[in-house]
Amino acid sequence: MRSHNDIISPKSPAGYVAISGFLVAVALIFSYIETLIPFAIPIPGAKLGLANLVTLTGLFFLAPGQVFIIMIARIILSGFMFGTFSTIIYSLAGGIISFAVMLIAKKTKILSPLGVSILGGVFHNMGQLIVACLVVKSYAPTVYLPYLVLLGTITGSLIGLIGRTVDSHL
Amino acid sequence: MSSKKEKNNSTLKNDLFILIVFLMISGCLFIVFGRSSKEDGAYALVTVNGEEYARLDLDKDTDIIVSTDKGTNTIHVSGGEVYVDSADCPDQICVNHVAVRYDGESIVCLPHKLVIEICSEKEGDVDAVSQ
Repeated sequence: MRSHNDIISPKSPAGYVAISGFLVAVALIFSYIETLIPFAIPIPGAKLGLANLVTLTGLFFLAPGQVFIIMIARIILSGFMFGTFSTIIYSLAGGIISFAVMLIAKKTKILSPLGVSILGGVFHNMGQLIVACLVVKSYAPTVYLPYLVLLGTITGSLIGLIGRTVDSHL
Repeated sequence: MSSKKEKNNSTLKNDLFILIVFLMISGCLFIVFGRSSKEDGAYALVTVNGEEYARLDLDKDTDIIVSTDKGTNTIHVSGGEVYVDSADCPDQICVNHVAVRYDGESIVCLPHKLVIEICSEKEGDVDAVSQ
């Protein structure tokens, strides 16, 4: 069994807060690193999603509720620091949908972080696309659907490969 | 550690299955979405916040400035193509977008809730012909 659970998620409230705060900080650093990477694809919402690495890894080691709180905190804070208010709305939609999908995928126990991350990447982009359609009140953004599925698969795989490596070393 | 390795190997197969399935889905989507868009459009429909703002005839070279409370986009039409010349939106995705000319193509500026869609039929044509 996974003995590290005893170390990484102590039952005490202080331990809970410490782990959560630490992981939010790590996720924010990933968000910051991502703003430094030029990723000039003229498609709305196209990005690497490095910060999702924290959500992904967290799902395999922590309680889902805690991971969810860490993700929401990260999205709101990084939105205020590196984005705009609309960035927060898009990220929240993508984040919540991908979190739900990744949680279900993880619970099936037939996928490693790689497969879970691919699903998360694709559904994150789907969530953003739905919000984009609602914002402009038009189906026009769906022309990006093929690109967003492909990009979600690629970025999900990259993050998933890192997540797999992290998972096997923790 | 060895049991974990075995588990990783069996899940890896499922992971690769997921990867291949989504690559195939995106491939199919590219084929479906790419097929119907090789006809030159007739006009560009500009909508802001879901409401029609302007119709630009693709045969006439024009520049229009769309200014709303969200900001300004300068749309340029020339040689049957439409592109956004400049905009004061934060992401500049609409400005970096390639020019569109085929039916069904579009440029979206999310911060300004602006959509430019290429349409093929002039709705006014039926009336013009019957007159």
